[in-house]
Amino acid sequence: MTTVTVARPIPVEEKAVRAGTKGGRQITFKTQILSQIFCIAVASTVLFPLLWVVSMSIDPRNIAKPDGLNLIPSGASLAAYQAVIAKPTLNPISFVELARNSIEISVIVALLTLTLGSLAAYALSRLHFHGRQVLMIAVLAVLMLPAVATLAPLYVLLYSIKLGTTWVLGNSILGVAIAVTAGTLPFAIWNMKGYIDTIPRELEEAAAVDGANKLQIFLFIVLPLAKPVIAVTAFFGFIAGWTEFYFSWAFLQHPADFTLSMALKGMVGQYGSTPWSEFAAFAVLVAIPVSAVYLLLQRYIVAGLALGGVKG
Amino acid sequence: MKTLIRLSSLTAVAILAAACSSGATTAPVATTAGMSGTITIWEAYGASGAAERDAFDTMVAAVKTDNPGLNVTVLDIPFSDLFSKFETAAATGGGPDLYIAPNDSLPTEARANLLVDESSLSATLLAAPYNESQVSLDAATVDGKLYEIPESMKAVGLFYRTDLLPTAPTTTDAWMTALKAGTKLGYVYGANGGGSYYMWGLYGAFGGKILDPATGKCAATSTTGVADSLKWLSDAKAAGLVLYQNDTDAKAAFIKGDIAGFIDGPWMTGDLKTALGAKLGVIPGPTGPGGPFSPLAAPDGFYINKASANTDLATKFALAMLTHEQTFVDKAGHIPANTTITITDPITQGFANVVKTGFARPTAAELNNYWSNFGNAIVAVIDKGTDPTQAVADACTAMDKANKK
Amino acid sequence: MSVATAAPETIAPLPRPSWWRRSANARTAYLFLLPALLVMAVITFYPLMFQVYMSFTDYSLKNLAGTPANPVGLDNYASILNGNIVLPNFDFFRILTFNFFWALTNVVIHVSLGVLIAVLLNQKGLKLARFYRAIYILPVAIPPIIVAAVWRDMFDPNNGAVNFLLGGLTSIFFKLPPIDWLNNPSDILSVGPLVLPLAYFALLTANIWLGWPLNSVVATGALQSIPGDLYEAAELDGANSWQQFRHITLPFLRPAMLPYAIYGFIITFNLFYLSYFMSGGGPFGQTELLVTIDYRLVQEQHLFGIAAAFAIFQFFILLALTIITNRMAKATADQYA
Repeated sequence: MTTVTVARPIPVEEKAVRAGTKGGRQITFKTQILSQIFCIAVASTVLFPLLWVVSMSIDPRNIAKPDGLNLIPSGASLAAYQAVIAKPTLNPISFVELARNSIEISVIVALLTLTLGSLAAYALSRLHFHGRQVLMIAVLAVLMLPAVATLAPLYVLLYSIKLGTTWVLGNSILGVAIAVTAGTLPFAIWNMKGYIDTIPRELEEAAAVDGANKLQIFLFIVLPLAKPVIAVTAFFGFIAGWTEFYFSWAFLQHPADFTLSMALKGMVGQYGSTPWSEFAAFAVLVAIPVSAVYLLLQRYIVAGLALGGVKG
Repeated sequence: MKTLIRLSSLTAVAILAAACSSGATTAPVATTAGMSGTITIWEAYGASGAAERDAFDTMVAAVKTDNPGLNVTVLDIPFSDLFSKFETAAATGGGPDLYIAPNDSLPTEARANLLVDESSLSATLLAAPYNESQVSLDAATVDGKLYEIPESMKAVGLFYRTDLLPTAPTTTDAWMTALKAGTKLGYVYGANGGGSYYMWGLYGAFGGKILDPATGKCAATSTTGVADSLKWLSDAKAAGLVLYQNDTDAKAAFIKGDIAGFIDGPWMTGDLKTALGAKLGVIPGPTGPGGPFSPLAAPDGFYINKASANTDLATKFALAMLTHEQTFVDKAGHIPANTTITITDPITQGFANVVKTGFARPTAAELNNYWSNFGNAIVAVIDKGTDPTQAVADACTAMDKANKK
Repeated sequence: MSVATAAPETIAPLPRPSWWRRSANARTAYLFLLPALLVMAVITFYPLMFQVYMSFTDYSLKNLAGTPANPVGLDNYASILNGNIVLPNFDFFRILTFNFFWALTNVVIHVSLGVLIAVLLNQKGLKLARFYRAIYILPVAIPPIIVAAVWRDMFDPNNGAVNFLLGGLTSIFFKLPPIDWLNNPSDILSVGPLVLPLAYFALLTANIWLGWPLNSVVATGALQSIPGDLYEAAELDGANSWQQFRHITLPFLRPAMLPYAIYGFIITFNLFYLSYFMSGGGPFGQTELLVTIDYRLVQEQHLFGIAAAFAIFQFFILLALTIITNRMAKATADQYA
């Protein structure tokens, strides 16, 4: 019981202290050279597809498909970017509006997942009640069923909820966000529970002795300690909303509600005739916000993946 | 009550149209003027380049000018999602008032009771000002009822470059001779790129048949025609025929001059004309020992959503759009279902000739299981060297099994 | 194990509290769970139950509007096992075998590569290690649909970067004919129900690119938690590099990597994007996964009844996986705890 720390993910602060404790002696010059060659080779495989996309997106010749390997095209042009920003789809919706809808879906998904998930995770981790084990297994099992399978019943369900004469939940950004949340929630609960399991209980017990109730303990003690996992959950929720096209294409019928991912899916379709340069430019535009946030939050995200949580 | 109103209004349209048909052929406005309300229509021209969508927009604008009270919302859906999205939406009581598309999904949607039965319009459509061909109406009919208002016909023919191929080959033997002499020709065959659609024309050239219309069973093994056509394709490949996984690649090679001709449909016309101008020609695919090249001919058209609250208005709108068909013909190279429209463009006229030898696309449910099974057979023969007779027999068995025949 | 310590009530050995007092903890628990449970009941468990119902009926487009579907007993299940459904190239056991093989090969490669590179970057005195780490993480940060579409274009026979690159590298020796990575119909390997076309290797390449970096990050975290003095002591005892790796590094990596490998296995098992967008499941449906079949049944065929039965099969397969992997993880945890 005492060495259990090995199995749990190491919180960021702790890791920072430990960083630099590397094994063995300094490497030799020969090892250094060989390692550098290997590392550069790996780096080039990682960068190759990314460079290729970027180079296609700025290729000045505006051709439908590239005719050669041209990683650094002569004379860059932002024409493809201008084209997709000026007219992202044939529908009457601007790039900014598409982006706004994407952000709306993403934020709603992130908030819903975080609120519902953290409450449930706390209860599953710290409180003991009948049916806890059954519930854990149920959440895990649901996590494994792909969202694709639930389309038909969700469609019928969300379309049966109406407000007034015109507003239908299924045909709204909120409806899509709820459907996406159905997919993100099980993992969030599972992952957050795993993380909360690794937080020492002493603080909570002390607070309980001081008369704090469960809600106060949750809000003021557990949540602040669970910062990394909260960052991860919010981020994964946001990504799920940002990249979602499956429910959106099935549900949404007003172009005013369309999202960036839907536009991207339209370009990727089997019969699409979008020039590759425009697809590349659009892909870069859609990827950059999430990539940037990911790279900024990287340390938190890695720490917050409570992988010990599989123990259940 | 609602159906009664609809029927009576349709009759009114029919009577008006009949009245017009006795007079001059250019008095279309009478049937459609004075529409008011809001219409939502879906299309999928985003997949095929700019020309079609531009023509479509021009026509919608013209209809709106004729009917100031009419409000039209156009929604572009990716072609790969169009049918699926419409079917789910319409089945739950939503979706647009109507959509315009090829008739790939017509039999499925008609049998799922998602489309308005337009049978009472048949006479109207055959008469002026619409003058639609009987073939187009036949291919829009499922189980004896009309569920689609045909707009134009589609079928594949041979695009060729007059600069590289002054006299295009017209028979399967002439193709073979040309290939052996070093002329590069192209054909689309891939399973993912619709190979079984492009192959259909060759079946006719070798006297082959896929479906027995009476029993719904696969008829491809009743003669050697289908296997012969696959063998011909395989031999042609050996002689130098260039095969493509999808028609976008074939188009690129054609524009570049790597091939002098390839089999494809009128949706390519716009882009090819832009690139090649007067160097472009179209004739039917090769005639063979069993008959002419007979590609699937099917109408693009309007489908009225049964779940719409505006089915009357949607129908009237579709008819109004038909009166501006000339725009589609001139701007986007559509082959009109209307037989009296003047075609000035030689390419479009070329395709009109192709359509004449076309095979009206069957609306039997059994055809659903043709595509992938025979797509497999084509790929197996071309890439794996499977014996054509064996490949066709396998595909036939698989198709009948899926159709529970 | 820790059940007893958490309940504060047991600390106070007072007279037996009333039922109301005793159930306080449970009531709070249910209160916390209520919002999530309510939402999940409606948007997750209800659709799940509905699936069970649909799987025994001929539910189709016609029934979406509310007309009840006809019961068909176990027909849907039987048709799936017999491969007797409208989807072409459908063979349940072949697809299942491929799906397992796909997930397994990916995870083995991801973990090995991830550990190898993490260990390499963790060498004392390696120059530019931080720079490499920053670059290596990039694939993880790209949305999956973009990854799939870009790799599809990369493997295009005529315009793809992979063939351009191979053609350039081999051009001094011979002229490389365009390789049709994603559509070539020949089997590279065919053993019993396992059939691997060229497309499998293209998908594998793309997924390795996508998958190893996160493994490497997790491994790095575990590596950095190893106390440095362990190595120093080992060195004093005369242990060589391999012995140090075998007896110090690996035992520390295992508990961190195993749960992650299991998680990766399940994610890869259900990976929709690459199969659907890159190869389209082809050639001959040989790179279809259970999850893409599901999509086709629902979206392309609207065979909701059969799709539901299919999802139930999938559910039990994944449930079995969960239970087995759960055991494995527990076993490892016990070993080191």
